[in-house]
Amino acid sequence: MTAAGHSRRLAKGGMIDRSRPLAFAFNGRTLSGYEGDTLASALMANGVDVVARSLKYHRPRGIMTDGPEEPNAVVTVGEGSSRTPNLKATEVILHDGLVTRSQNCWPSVNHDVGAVAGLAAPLLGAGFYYKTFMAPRGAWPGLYERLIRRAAGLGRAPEGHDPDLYEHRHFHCDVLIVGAGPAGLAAARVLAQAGLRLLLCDERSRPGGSLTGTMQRIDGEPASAWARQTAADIAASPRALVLLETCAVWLGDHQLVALVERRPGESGVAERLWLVRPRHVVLATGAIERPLCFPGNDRPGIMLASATAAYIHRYGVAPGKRAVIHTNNDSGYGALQHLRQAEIDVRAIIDTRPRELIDEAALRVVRDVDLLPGHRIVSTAGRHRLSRIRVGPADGSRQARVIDADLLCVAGGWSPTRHLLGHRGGTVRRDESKHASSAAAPGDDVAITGVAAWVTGLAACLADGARVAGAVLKALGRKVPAPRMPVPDDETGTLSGEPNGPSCPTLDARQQRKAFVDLQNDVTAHDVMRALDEGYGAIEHLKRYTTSGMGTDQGKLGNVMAIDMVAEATGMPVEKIGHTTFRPPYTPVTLGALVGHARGERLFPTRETPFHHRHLARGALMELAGPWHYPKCYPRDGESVDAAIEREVRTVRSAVGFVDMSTLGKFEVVGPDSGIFLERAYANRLSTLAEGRCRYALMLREDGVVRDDGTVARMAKDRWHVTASTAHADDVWRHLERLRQVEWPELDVLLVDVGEQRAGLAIAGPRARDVLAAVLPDFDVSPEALPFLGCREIGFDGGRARVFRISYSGELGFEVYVGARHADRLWDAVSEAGTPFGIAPYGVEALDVMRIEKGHCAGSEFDGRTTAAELGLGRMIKRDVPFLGHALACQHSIRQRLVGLVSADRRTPIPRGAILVAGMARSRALGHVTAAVVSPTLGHPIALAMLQGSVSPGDGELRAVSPVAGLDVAVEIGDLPFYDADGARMRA
Amino acid sequence: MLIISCPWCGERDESEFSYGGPARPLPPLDADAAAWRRALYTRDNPKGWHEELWFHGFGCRQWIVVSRHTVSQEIADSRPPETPP
Repeated sequence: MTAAGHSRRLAKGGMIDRSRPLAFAFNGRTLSGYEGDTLASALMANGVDVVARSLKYHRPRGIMTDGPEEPNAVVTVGEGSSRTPNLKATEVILHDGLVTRSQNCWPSVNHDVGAVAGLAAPLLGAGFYYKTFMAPRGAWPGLYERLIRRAAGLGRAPEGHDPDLYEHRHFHCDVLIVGAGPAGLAAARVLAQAGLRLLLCDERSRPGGSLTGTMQRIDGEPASAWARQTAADIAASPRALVLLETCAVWLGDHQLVALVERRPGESGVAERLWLVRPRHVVLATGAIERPLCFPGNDRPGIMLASATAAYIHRYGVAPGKRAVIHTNNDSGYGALQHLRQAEIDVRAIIDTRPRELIDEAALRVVRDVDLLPGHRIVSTAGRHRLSRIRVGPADGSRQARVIDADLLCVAGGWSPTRHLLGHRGGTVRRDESKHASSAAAPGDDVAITGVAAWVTGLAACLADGARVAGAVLKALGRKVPAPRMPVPDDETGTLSGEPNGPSCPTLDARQQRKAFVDLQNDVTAHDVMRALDEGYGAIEHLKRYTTSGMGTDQGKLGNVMAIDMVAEATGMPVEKIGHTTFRPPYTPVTLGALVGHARGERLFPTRETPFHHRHLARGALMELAGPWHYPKCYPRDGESVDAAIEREVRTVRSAVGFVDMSTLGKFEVVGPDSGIFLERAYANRLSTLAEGRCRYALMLREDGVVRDDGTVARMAKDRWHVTASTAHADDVWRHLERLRQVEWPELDVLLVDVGEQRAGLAIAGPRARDVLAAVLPDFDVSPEALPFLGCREIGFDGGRARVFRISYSGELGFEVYVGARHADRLWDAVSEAGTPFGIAPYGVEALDVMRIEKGHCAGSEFDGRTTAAELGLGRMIKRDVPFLGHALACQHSIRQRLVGLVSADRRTPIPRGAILVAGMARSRALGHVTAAVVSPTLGHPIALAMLQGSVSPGDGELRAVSPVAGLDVAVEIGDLPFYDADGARMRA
Repeated sequence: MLIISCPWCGERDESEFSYGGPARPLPPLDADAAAWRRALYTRDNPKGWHEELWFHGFGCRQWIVVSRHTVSQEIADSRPPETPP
């Protein structure tokens, strides 16, 4: 039974389920296929010849392969936000309701306006873009970029959020076998029987590899049935896992192998990235058939010989009616029996080799077919599909003749699939005596078997898989069994291992333009010749100059022919020409699979402070600050964010407010040498600090640039409380531990990170002392007992609290730290005690406004490029005692300085991140705005900026320009700090 | 992705560690600027075995010295920093 419209579906055969028809759309047409079809096989069954247009010349292209090497049939699958461009139709498993489209064509794939590019082909040769778009330089941003963007690129990116789910899975096993072909199955069978923890993966939807496209039998049953049964036996063993539709894309360092599982069974997950750490890897990755280079080798209807057999046996599709086989090696003759079985009329076999080099066994199968040894294809014809082939003797001794055919099976030899080995580094080589591209030696923990190791013949591959399994068992210290080997019936049509004949005939210039070496990127033999003429002889240069091998097939087909062309043209042996590098991934991977679950709110792990639920209860508007959930502000009913921020600032400046300080890095530094340690680690004097006192502290990097700032408090003689800024807390901890463990192990000092253990609140404002006195009634908070920069440890809520009289806001301020489990009690006490004074919690925005008013530096000023002197902190640096960063801090010239800015009209806000320019010299940036707010206290916009030291008043009016925001504001330099310059308020 | 053997925690994934550059002592704090420049900016880039510092931040939080081959990525040895190789 065959569905209507399946003009090329065979009456029987194939591994499809004819009882389960599937409907899908291609370019708006509704077509049908069967369960088990790929998009490519379903299109072929429906008689669709032109599937896509080529990138540059928009030539009609059909289906050439049945795997990841497909250069032509590249399509877009899905719609809207689910749209995935650049999928190979040969890799898309058909399912009901699949929506697919051709790419690179308008208005339709059969009538494509862009095809006029083909007329301009002589102009679009190698290096076209490099040569054409050179001058004038000024045309780059506007004209050239737009032109190139329109012409370049493949497919259209999806819009909106990808609704699909992706996940990552980590897996550890004894052995990972990549490839469930004959060798992979033979190896897995032995290892599974031995009880190893085993993962067998294959990119196809059914096991067997080449066995699914053959007429051979193993142990008396069809090879594909043997493969299916063997895979089922392996999957049934308790410690083995078989993953189909799962492609190994990366063989990384230390045996990390990345697999991409497409359409895994569980609901909702579109793709799963497996990160596997096997003790041994067995690569049974098979081989990819090579195409041949001849004029007109890109027409729909021209396919790899192995793919022809695959479509017949896997999908029950006849790829054509009248076939010609074009080969340069004995494996091409294998196609004959498959074509005959599908009752396809084979018109001729064109072999590039002379008759005496053709194997006797191959000649025997030819029988009644017209054999043309020593021949080549002169040209092909057919608008949307191959219709005629012109063939002549390679030496030109006779006139070319025309053969009427709609299918050309091309057999150019085989490239063993060794890409994964290349990911490990090392040089990739071509070894023509073995047809093969070989990467670096596999190494102890990676074995390669079967055709991938250039073991040819089915019996030999099965034996080799078992041999490799034995070697793995031996390496793991297991007993090596002597398994019964599966016996194939005959070897007809399998690889012989004899060298190939010529793959690239000598072509004249006109023919070169029609002979494609990379079909996807439209690189022709002519492009290769021109690149050689222009000196791009090294294969890596040639690849980049011509773009050969740079499409989504990643050179699996294209580059092979380019290398052959270079060999042909230069007379150099292919071994000497080398091979371009195999880089991961083996086949394109979606960004979704790489990202996995890490998107949206799961982008990274987030942190909450011990006051989190109190923030929420007070109606805080929370936002993420780095990993921290932190209040932006606490808007009251009907209050806008800006109004809330302004109110919070006014509350602190006029009464009292409190703010969560728990995100700061907090370290306990203890030990007899703790003073020396801190003196070496920080840039300002600390060892003279008296007990019960604290000090602002500045830390430099080894190169003299500011690393971070914080507070250092001496709680007791040998015990210090050290803070680091929220953003740098981890970095400062790592740095301090490095100094202690690696650089100065002789110092008797211990560091403890108490960041998670301590919760902190800052109470700030003119009434802060009243609030503190109410919170801690037994504690003397008078200025005499607790002066500015004093600190004490006292009892609180059955635990200990540390009180520091420090101020970030510029008001009278205290910071109180308690154990995290006392956090709620502290919050409630402060909140309650402060109520009579009008206390309100404030968020990060009010905090920022007040620090800018005070001119305090923070993360945007400590940007890893600024020195202490540039930030106006130069006087803090001690001169007499060496410390880390000292030697180079003294060497930096002052290139910029921290300044305060106000907008000239006192009204227009200053854009954050704006560039500073002066007068007419607008092409030169004089600095940038690091932080900007509208100050509720001063009633006008203010900003902090790094200004280049060389600006003089004569440079003209200073302006803050933000081309991104389209803003341009006249500014003036104001005095820092903007507020309470003598610090009287915080010392009150 | 490397698997780094921590002398305290055993074999762990690279993602638990952060890299700390070559394992060689910094100049004395009172060394001159030229010595510091040499130490910070004139580094070897060996093809072969490399002694380097790693911080096991998502484990024991200790700095360790690791011998890594920069070509094969083999890790031959790891030890606490004060231990001589």
